[in-house]
Amino acid sequence: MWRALGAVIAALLGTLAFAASASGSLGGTLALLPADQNGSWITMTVDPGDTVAGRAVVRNLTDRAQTAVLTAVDATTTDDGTFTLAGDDQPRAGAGRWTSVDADRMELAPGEQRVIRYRVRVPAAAEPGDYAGGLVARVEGAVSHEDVGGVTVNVVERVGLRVYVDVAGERDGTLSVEDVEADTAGGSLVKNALGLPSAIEARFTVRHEGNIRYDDLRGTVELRRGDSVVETRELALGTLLPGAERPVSVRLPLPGFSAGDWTLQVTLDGEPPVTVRAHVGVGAWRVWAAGGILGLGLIGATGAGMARRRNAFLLRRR
Amino acid sequence: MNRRWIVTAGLCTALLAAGGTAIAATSTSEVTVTGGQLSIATSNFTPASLTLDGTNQSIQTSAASPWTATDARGTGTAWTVAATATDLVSTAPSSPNRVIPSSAIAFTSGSVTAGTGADAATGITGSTAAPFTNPTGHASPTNVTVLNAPAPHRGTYTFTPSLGIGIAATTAPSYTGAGTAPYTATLTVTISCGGRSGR
Repeated sequence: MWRALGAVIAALLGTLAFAASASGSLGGTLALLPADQNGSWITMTVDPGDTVAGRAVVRNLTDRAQTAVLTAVDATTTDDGTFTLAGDDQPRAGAGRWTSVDADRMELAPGEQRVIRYRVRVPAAAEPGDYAGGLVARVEGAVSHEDVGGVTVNVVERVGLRVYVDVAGERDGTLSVEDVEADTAGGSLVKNALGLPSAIEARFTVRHEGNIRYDDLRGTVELRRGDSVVETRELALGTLLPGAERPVSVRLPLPGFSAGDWTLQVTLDGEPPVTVRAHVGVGAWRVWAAGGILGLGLIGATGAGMARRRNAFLLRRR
Repeated sequence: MNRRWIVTAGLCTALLAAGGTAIAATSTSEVTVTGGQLSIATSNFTPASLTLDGTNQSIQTSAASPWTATDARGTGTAWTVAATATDLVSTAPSSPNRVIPSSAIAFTSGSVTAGTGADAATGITGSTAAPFTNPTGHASPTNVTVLNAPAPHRGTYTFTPSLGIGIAATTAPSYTGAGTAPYTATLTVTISCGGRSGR
C-alpha cells in the first residue's frame, strides 16, 4: 500500500528519485588473460586472408559459482585519449569483427579457471595497418535493478583482454592538424581596461589519416613572436587510433603589452612529425583610441592655449 | 715415521676441506612468484531524489563505498579504466519512451589512494565532472575516463566516484504504475591493459 501511495505522490509531484545499483558490490569477479603469451594482452602480425588462433584463460575470482559471458569488441578511446574497449552491442568493424571465441558463455565453479580458444580471421581485403580490439568478460545477470519509481543507474563490471592485430603491409603515420582557431581572452583589470587580452585560446583538431596506432601521442603548442618562443604548452593526446580525430583546446597566456602579431605553432611527435603554424593578430583598439583621444586632447589644449594667448594679446593691444 | 705423519695429516686436511665444501653446497632454496591479474570492484551509488520545479537541476550522488582497481600482475605496464553509459530511458506499455541523454551524466573519479605496498598514486589521472561523450561517432554508448594509470602502478588503488545527472526543466517524470520502468541507464566499467612503448 505504502509503495502504491509513494508512486502516486511521486507522479503528482513529478519526482525523479535516483538510485544506482551495481553488480560491482560483488567485487572484482572475473579475470581474463592470455594463455599462450607472456604479458597481459595479445599481439599478432597477420597477412590479409590469414587466420591466427590462440588461447585465453577466464578465471572466477570469487568463492561462488557464476556464469561468464565473453564478447569480442573493437577498441575505442575516450574524449581525452584513454584506450578502452567498446560496448558489447556496439557495431564492430575491425579486430572485434574478426575475432571469435569457441565459448561465449560458461559456468565457472568457485575459483575455477578455464581455457578458451579464440581465432582472429583477417579478411583478404583488409587494408594494412594496426587494428585494435579485444575480448571482454562480464558476469551474466550481475545487473541488479532497484525500482524506486525514478532514475536508476546500473553498473556492470567488465575485464578486457586487448587484442592488437597488425595487418602486414605499408605503414603510414600521417597526422594532420586542422580547423586551427584562436580567440583572445581577458584577464587582468589593467589589460581589460586597455582592451588588451591576457591569453590566447587556441583550438584545433588532430586527425589521424594513417594506419598505425599511436599509444601515447605527444606534442607541443608554442606561442611565438618573431623567432622567439614566448610560451609553450605540452600536449598529451593519449591513444589515437587510425581514422580517429581529437579536438584540442589550449590556453596560452600573453605577456606584457600583447598587441601585435603572434604565431601559434603546433608540433606533433608523429611518424613523420607534423608542424603547423597560424598567425594571430591581437588588436588594442582601446589603447589606440585612448592614444587618439589623448592626442586630440593635447591638440585641443594646445589650440585653446594659443587662442587664449592670442585673445590676451589682442585685448592688450586694444 | 715423520713422513708417515705428514701424509696422514695431509689426508685429514683434505677430507675436512672436502666435507666443508659438501655441507655448503646443499644449502639451496627456490621461491616461485606467479603473477596475478587486473581486476575492478565497484559498488552501489547512494540513492538520491529530485522534484521537478520548473528549472534546470541536477542530481548528485556518490558511490556508497570506494571502488577498487587492482593490478596484481607484477609487470607494471600501464592500465586504464573507462566507463560507457547508455541513455536513461523510462518505458511504459503503449507509450513512447522518455529519454534523458547520457550526455547529461557527468562523471567524477575522485581522489585515488594507493593501498599498502602499492606504487604511489601519483600520475594516475581521472575525470572531473566530465560528461559522457561520443568521440568515435557511434550512436551509443558514450564513454568517459575513469582512471588512466601509466606504468608502473602496481597494487591496489581505491577511489570514490560520483555522478551528476543534469535534469532539464522540460524533463518528463518517470513513468509509474504497472508495467512501467523508471529512467534506467547502464554504466559499464571496463579495466584493461596493454600498449607498446615507442609510439
